Amino acid sequence: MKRFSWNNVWRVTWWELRKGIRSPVFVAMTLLVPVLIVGSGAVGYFAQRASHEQRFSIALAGEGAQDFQAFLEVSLAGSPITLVHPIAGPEDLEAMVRQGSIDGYLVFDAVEWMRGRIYYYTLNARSAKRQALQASLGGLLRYYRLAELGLGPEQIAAATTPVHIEFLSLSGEETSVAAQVAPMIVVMVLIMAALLSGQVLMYGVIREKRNRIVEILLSSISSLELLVGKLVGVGALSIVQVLVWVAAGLVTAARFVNLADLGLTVSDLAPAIVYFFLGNIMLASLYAAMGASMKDAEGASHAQGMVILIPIIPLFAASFIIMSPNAPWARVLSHVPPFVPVTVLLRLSATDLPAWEYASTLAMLVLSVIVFVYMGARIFERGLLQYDRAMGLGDLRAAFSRYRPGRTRV
Amino acid sequence: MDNILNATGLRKAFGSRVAVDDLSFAIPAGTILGLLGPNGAGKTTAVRMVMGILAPDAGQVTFYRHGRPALMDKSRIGYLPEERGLYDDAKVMDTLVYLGVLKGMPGYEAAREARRWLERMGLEGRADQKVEKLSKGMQQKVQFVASVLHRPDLLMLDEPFSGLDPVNQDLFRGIIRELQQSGMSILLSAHQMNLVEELCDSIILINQGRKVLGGRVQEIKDSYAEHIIEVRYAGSDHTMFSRLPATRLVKREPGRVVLRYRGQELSSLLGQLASEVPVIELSAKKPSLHAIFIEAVGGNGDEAV
Repeated sequence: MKRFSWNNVWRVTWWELRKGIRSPVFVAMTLLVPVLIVGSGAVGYFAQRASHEQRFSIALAGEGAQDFQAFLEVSLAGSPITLVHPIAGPEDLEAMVRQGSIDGYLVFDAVEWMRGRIYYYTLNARSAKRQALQASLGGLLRYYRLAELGLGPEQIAAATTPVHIEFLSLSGEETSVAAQVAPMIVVMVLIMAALLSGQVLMYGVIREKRNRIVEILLSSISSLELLVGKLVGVGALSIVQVLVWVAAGLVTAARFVNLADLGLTVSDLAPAIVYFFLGNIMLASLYAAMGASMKDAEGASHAQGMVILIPIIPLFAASFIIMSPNAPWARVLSHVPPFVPVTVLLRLSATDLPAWEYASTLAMLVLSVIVFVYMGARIFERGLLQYDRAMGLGDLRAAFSRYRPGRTRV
Repeated sequence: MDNILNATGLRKAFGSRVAVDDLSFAIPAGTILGLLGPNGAGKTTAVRMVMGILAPDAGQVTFYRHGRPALMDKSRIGYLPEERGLYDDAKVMDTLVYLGVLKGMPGYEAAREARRWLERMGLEGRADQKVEKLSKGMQQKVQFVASVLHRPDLLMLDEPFSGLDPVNQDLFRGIIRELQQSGMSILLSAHQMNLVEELCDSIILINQGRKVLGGRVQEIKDSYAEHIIEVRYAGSDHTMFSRLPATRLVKREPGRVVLRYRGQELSSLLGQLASEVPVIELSAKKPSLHAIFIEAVGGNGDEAV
């Protein structure tokens, strides 16, 4: 038989890319994901804004409330909180809350006040607008305490201004919040793209099995050429998808921040792209093998939960990895074959790796890709023509058996 | 005549079940070889091994080009599998061009040939339709086109007539004959014995994975030392038929009998019949391929006469 042909691989790649781009699932996922991301962000933004715009009325009660009342009347001018007169006993105020004439009342107790505590009574404490009240009153209460202790306005301002640690590179370059968040978003987008395109590949393989076209394909090219063509095709498809998402993201981001502040340069992103592409091939070979080994889409969707979980396990520790990207355990995880791409991508979103770690993790990733593609190819070859049932353990054992004495050649 | 393909000692087992066992055959260049056998006999497994889709557990398949052993080149082979299928959601022309390109054709040439074949199949208006919009028969035609688009040297057709109406069976039969006359070698696996008998130069018959018969069609028929004798006669006395030497009564109706004669003296038997029975019509012929098939796979060939 003729040897492995890259021409055949490109032919399959081109077909898969063309078919994938036209597929309704791909189009829907590519367009829907940015809409969902922007949509969920917008929902959060408007919800927060709405809570800030809420107005409510409160009253004061208790010993020492007189002085605080005078202070609040001046300080709350223009805030969403309305202070209601007069100062009354808790029983009267409770009746006003029940009647709905005020939302709640603060009880000023001298002992509790010294302990840094003030009580707010409302009809239902669980539904109280805690955040809005805390935001409006928290600073004022602190200010009032410091004033009581005899500090002047300037001293209070100096004491209450939060101390912010600014992180600067030795080059003097400043890093904005946007620049810190942007790599994380890019990494999440890359991981999501890999998972989505892998699924497109898996269901494509199942469809080819179901409609039996696979036997015609195998009469023209080898199963390895078919697999590699699909993997490269899916890799290219992911890149198209990511480009669409990045373009949509940049257009949206440009309305809120200066794009130059994001600090995203091609040279910074290049390592992430390399890990993404190789990791994508590794993941896609798993998806292809699963598609080939399953009888139908239902079986595949059950199985993928277990199998695909393995390489994406680091995602569950994403916040810890991002917070401590150079922790010893994160470095070890970066060298464990199935976890390399996701772990390194998460670390790259928070830090730069030293050159030796790029080399060692890339070496492990290349090794992982070879092993995964080899294993995927054996399962793919064995499972493709098994139309009537899913592969079992016996079939998997046979897929990796070396017993091949027969020949189809000269 | 040079062979285009030589398969020797092919064996394939799936677990404990042996699908093909010690199967050997050759396809002479420019001829049609019929691969026959009952359902589950191992025909499709044999074809898949020849195509290199399945690796044999034992045995060897050798391809020849210009009379010399050559590397298997899938681009020189066309294949119509028994399990039919195409991309449902792709257009007919796109699918054919892709499959042609996979066989090594330039895209433009694949498109030109696809158009020519679609016209030949009466599907010229369907090129831009999605495959799922076509009837089953039309899809089968498209798949047949995909197997011959690249003008292969060797064409493997696994059950090409199944599911086709008589008109399209005739169309396929004519095309297969034309392809053979143009020099193509063909391996034809089919159940329609009349078509196999008409098209094939030689056949092999396999049962339970093993070859039970093989050779040129006429030679196989001649090697059967039996004749089927059908007699229409006047009257109703059939007792004399049971006295004839080396014959067995297969079928008896008022005024008509069918006999199987396993002897060497056909002329004298016919003479005896003519002298003792008021014959209206008398015929003697070799058993059909259908009858040979049924008898060879362990059935009673009487139903087929």
